[in-house]
Amino acid sequence: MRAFGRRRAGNAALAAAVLGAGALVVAVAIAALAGADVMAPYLVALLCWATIPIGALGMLITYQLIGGAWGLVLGDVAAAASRTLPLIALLVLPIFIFQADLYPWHRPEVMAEARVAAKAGYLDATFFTIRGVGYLIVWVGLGVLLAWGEGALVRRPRLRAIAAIGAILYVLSVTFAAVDWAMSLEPKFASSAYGWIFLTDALIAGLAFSICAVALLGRDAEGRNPFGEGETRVLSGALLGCILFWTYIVFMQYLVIWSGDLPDSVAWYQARVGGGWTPVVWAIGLLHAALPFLVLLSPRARANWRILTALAAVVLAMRFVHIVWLVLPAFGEQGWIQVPLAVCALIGIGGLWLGLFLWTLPASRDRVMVGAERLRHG
Amino acid sequence: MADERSVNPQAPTETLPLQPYGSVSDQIAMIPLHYPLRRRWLIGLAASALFTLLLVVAIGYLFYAGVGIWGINSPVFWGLAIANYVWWIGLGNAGTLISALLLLLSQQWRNSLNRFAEAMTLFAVFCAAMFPIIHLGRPWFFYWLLPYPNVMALWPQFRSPLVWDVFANVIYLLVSIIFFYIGLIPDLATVRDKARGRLGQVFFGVLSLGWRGSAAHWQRWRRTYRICAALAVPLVVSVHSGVAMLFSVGQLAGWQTTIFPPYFVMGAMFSGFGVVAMIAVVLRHTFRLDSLVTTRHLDLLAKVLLASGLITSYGYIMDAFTAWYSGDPFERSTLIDRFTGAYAWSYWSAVILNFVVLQGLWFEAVRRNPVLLFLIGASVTTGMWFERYMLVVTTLYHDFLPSSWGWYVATFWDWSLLAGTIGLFFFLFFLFVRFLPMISMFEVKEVLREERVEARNARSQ
Repeated sequence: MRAFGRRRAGNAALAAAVLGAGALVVAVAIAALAGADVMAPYLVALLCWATIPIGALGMLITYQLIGGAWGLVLGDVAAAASRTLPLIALLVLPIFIFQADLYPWHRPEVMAEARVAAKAGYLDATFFTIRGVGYLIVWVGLGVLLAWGEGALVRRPRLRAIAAIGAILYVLSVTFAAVDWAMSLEPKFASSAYGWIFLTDALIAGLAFSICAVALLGRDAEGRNPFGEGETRVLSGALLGCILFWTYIVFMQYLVIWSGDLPDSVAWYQARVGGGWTPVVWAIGLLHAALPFLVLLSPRARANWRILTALAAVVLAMRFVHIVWLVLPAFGEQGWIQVPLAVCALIGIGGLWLGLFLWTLPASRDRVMVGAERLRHG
Repeated sequence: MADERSVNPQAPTETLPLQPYGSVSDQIAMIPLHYPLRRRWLIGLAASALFTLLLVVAIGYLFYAGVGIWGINSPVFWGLAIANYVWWIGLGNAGTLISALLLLLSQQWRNSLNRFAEAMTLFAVFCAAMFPIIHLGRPWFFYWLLPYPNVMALWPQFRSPLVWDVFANVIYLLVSIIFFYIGLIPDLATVRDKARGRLGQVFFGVLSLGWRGSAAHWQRWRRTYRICAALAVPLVVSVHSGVAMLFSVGQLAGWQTTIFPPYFVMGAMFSGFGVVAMIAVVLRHTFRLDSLVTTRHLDLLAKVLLASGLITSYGYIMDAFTAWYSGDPFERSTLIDRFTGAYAWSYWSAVILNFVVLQGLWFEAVRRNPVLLFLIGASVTTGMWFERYMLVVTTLYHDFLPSSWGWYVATFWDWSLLAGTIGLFFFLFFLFVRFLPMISMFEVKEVLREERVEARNARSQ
C-alpha cells in the first residue's frame, strides 16, 4: 500500500534534522530569555535518545554471539541506528565542555563533604572527560566494526570474536557512562545496580525502537506483515524477557535501599516521589511493567504483530519517561520553565538523530528495505 | 526402519551423531535394568554412605550440644553453615535453568543434559534446605517461620527475608520435584516396557502412571511440562534473590549493595553450570555415552559457563567499585579487608579459581577437552564456595566498632557438615544413576528426528 521510497526517506531525514536543529535553537533562546539552565534538559534529552543507538549496538553484539532469526528481521534497523553513534559522540561534547554547570561535584562546597571528597580522584574534570571520550571511542569503534559495510547481518567468526571482546567493553563502558553522566549528578548516591539498570534501559530502547521502525517502514507494497508469525513470537518473548528483567532489577534496587534505609540512598528516591513525580512512578509501573507483562502472557497476543508493535511503542515512550525520571530530579525544583525546555531539547536531539537514522537506512534502488521484506527479497 | 538405519552415521550434524532411535533407548534404559558397573557402583555408594553417616552424627551431636560446637561466636554469628547453604542452593539453580530456561528458549541441545542436571538440582536443594533449619539453634521450632494461625495471634515478620526464603525454597523444591517427575514419565514408561523382571515392571509401571504415549498424552504432557518450566524460572530467580536479600537488607558494610540479588542469581547459575559440566564429563566417560553427550555439548556448556562467569565477574567489579565510590569509610574498610585482611585468602581464592582459570574457555580446544573442562568446572565449584565464605566472614569479623571485632575459625563439626552434605549428595546421585534413566531418551530422540529430517532435506537438494 505504501512504499517508503528512497526519496521520501531522504526528504523525511532532512525535515527531521531541520526541525531538530530549530528546536535546539528555540531551547537555547528560551533558556537565554528566561535565564534558565539549558544544559540539564539537554543532558536528559541526550541520554533518552542515546539509549536507542547504544541499545541497538548491544543487539548487534548479541546477534553476532548467539544468532537467531530476530537478528535478520531487526538487523537492518539496529545497524542503521548503530551507525548514528558518531552523531551521539558529537552531541556529548557539550556535556564535557559545560560539565561545570551540570555536575555538582565541580562546586567546592559539595566537594567539602568527606564522602564526596573521598572520590575526588574519580570525580575530576579531566578524568571525567578522558573516560567519556573512551566510552565514545568504544561505541563508535564497535559500531564501525559491526554495523558498517555488508557484514552487519552476516555472522562470521571474525565478527563473533570482535563481538565477544566487544561485549565486555560494551557492558563496562555503558555501565560507567551511566555512573559518570547520570549517577554522579547526585555525588552522594551510590548504587551498584545503577549501571545494569541503565544497560537494560538501553537494550529495551534498542529493541522497542527497532520493532516500531520495522513495523512502520517494513511493510511492502502489498501491505504484508513486517514480521512473520514465528518472528513475532520470538520478538514478543524477547520484549517480555527484557521487561521482566528490567522490572526485577529496578525493584531489587528499590527493595535493598528501602530495607537499608540509609540517608544518602533514600534521599535519592525521595527526590523522585512526591511533587509531580508520583504519577510518573505509577505510569512507569503500570505502562512499562504491568501492561506489557499481562498482555504478553497470552500466546495469541505474542503472535500478533500489531499488539507487539503497539506495546513496543508504549515501552519506548515509557523508556523516555523513565530516563527523565532518573535524571531530571537530580537538578532539584526548577519551575515550569523546565517543561518547554525539556520538550524542545527532546524534539531537537530527536530530530537530528532521526534524520541521520533515516538517511543511513539501507536502500535498494528506490526502496527502503528492512525486516521481513529484506528476507523475502534476499 | 531399514531407511533409518541406512542413514550415514558419519553425516555432519548439528548436535548428535545420527543413530537409530533404538540405540538411544538401549544405551540409556539398559543402565537401570542391567547395571554395568555393579562393583564400582557399590564401592562409590558405600563411600558416600560413610560420609552421609558423618552428616547424621554431626547433626545428632549438634542437636544434643547446640550450635556452640561450631566456630561461630560474636561477632561472626554466620559461619560455614550459611556459606554452605548459599553454595548448595546456588549449585542447584543451574539444573533448573538448563532444563527450564533452555526449554523455553527452544535450545535443543539441553535435551541430553537436562535429566541429570535436574537430579543434581533436587539433591543440591535438599542439602541446602538442611542448613537454615539446623542453624536455628532450636530447630524443633522451625515451624515458627510459617504463618500458621495460632491463639497468641503471633505472625512471622513478613518484611524479613528469612520468611521470604522459607516460602521461596519450599515452593522451589516442590516445583523442582514436580518438574523432574513430569519430565521422567515418558522415559519411565520406556523402562517399564523394556523391563523383564516382575519387580522392575511393577516399580516402573507404577511410576509411569499408565503412560501409553498416545497423542492426547503427549499434548497434555507438553503443555504441563512447559507450564512447569515457566513457573520454575522465576522461582530460581526469587530463591536466589531471597538469599541475596538475607545479606543486603541489613546495613552492614559489604552486604548493603543493590547489585546483590542479580549478582547472586548469576553466581548461582555459574557455579551450577560448573557442576553440570563436571557431571556431564564423568557420566559420559563412565557409561560411554559419547554419542549422546557429544563434544558439541561440552563446547556449549563451556560457553555458557564462560558467559555466566563473566557476568558474575561484573558483579565483583561493580560491588568493589561501588564500595569505593560510595566514599563510606566502613564500606571502604571492608573492601580493603577483603583484599588484604585476615581472610584475603578467601577473596583471592575466589577470584583466581572463578575467573582466572575460567579464561581458558576462550579457546575451543579447551572447551572440547573433557579433562580440562572437568578441571575448570571443579575450579569454579570450589571458587564459588570460597566466595560464599568470603561474603559471610569478611563483613562480620570487622563491623562498625573496633571493640567488637573478632575472628572466625571453623571447627571439626563445621567441616563435617560440609563433608557430610557432599556425601549425601553423592549418595543420592549414585542411587539416581542406578535406578532411573539418567538422560532423557524421548527428548534425545526428538533432536535426532529433527536432525534426520534436516539431513534428508540436505541430501535431496
